[in-house]
Amino acid sequence: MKDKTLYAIYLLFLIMGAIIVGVAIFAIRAINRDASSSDWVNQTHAAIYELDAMLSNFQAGEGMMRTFALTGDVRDFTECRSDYFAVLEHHAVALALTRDNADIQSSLAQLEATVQARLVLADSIKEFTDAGKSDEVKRALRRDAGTTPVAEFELVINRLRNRQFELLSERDRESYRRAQTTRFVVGLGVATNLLLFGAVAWLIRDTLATRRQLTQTLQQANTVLEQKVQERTGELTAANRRLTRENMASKWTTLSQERQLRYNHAIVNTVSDLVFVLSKALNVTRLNPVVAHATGLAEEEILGRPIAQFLRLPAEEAGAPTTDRLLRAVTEGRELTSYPAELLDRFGKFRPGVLSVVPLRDDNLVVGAVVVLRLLSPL
Amino acid sequence: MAAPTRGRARLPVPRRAALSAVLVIGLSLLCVPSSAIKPTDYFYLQDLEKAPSMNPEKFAELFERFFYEFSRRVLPPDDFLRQRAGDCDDYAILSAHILGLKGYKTRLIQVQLTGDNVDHAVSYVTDKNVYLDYNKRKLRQKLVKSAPTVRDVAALVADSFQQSWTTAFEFTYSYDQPWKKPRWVIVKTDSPERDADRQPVPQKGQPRP
Repeated sequence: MKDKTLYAIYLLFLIMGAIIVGVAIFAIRAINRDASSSDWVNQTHAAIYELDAMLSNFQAGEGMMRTFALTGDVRDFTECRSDYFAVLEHHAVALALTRDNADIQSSLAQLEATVQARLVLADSIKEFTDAGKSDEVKRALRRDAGTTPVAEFELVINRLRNRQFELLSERDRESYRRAQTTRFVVGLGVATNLLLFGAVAWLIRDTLATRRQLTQTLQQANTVLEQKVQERTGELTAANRRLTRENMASKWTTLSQERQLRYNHAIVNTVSDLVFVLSKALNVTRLNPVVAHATGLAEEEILGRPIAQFLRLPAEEAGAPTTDRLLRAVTEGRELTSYPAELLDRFGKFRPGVLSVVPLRDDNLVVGAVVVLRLLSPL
Repeated sequence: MAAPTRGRARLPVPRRAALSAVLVIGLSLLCVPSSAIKPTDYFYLQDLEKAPSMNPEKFAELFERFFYEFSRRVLPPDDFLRQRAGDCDDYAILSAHILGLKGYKTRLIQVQLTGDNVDHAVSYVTDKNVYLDYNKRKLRQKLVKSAPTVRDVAALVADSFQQSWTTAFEFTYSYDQPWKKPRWVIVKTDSPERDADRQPVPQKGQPRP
């Protein structure tokens, strides 16, 4: 769940980044196009300026030519030529600015021819003036009055200017359309990004709410768990106390039993007859000190060994085991009283005595027997 | 017995002659004015033409105290130098004229800027790949380094005005025939490959594009 949300957020951010990059690239291209468009507008304005400058310089040249015809002052002639050459200078620039338009080029060529003709006229007036032929000057001017070079020049210039203004309008419309497209694309990009931002915010908010809820649930579970732990700890503490008490009681019981056992041992040890405690298989499990004394064997040498190695009872039949009667009494849970028997000491010497056997019971089950042997001869 | 004569001790003849020669040369050096023109001097076209060691740097330094004054026509050089005021084309044309006399290859370039019909002329010194600009005359760096095409020069000039440019043209001018004759015109919106000054040099008899 968590990973899915994270991937969704990454994906949304990726899309937003892609949109931003796309919009930025589009905007940069639009700016470049605008700059280029601006250059075109500037170029059109420059062409209009050059046409205006051609016209004004042409008019100035015309004026100076007539002034020179009147005054004969060479400075006026120089000024006249300068004006015409200024027309040619602007003409060259206007030609370059409109070099892709054949109509304009032909019109400009026509204007250049007009200027060249005016330069020839000015030179001829200069020649007549220098030669003092004022009549020729008047004649040349009169001939020229029949033509309308200034009006024609102005007409052509105005037509070219109008064409440039039309171009300006076209370029302005194109620029406006581009600007509209740019606005639309940038607006769309921004709106989409805002929507995606909203989606990311919603996802983050949703994830945070889920996490907050999970935290609360965890806190509640933790509280319940802590309560249970406290309860269980209480129970365990109580059980521990009880066990401690029971352990103490058990220890006391054990101590009491050990004391009782020691008493029992002391009692058994005080008996002057030989006492053997036997297991059900007739092995010696316990004895009193008189036994060790009478047999001359150490207690360790007797314990765990069959009683038949130390006692001999008269056999019921010839060849039967000497403890057969003892085994039967123990198995059957019967007592034997004052039964003759012989004790074998460490030197292999038999000593006569009287034997009593009492079976040991635990819940009515014979688990062994106690054999008491009173020797007939003193030790 | 004749009494001994009293008087100043006299130097031997060769040492006296050498000292006299040193004095004469020193005095003559003090009396003869220095031939190098300084920015504070008043100078004319003839002085510039006769200046023995003129180069673009020295030429530009001479105009650092000149003023700007616009005139519709190019001023005759002596008028410009006498009034110590003029505009960009007065300076550019004069520098091209003087440096041309001193053996430098120069080109006159006029840049048309956008807006209020401002144009600006500079003279480009091909040997050093720099141009002289009247607007830079008071700066420490009076020459502007540039690539040799008209388009590159136009871009730098327009940058110095913080404006855009529309056209630039290379022209010739002589004080005998005082009008600008455009050689070729470069238009900003054209592809640079179309620029006339980037075309291969035409063979004899073929027109330049």
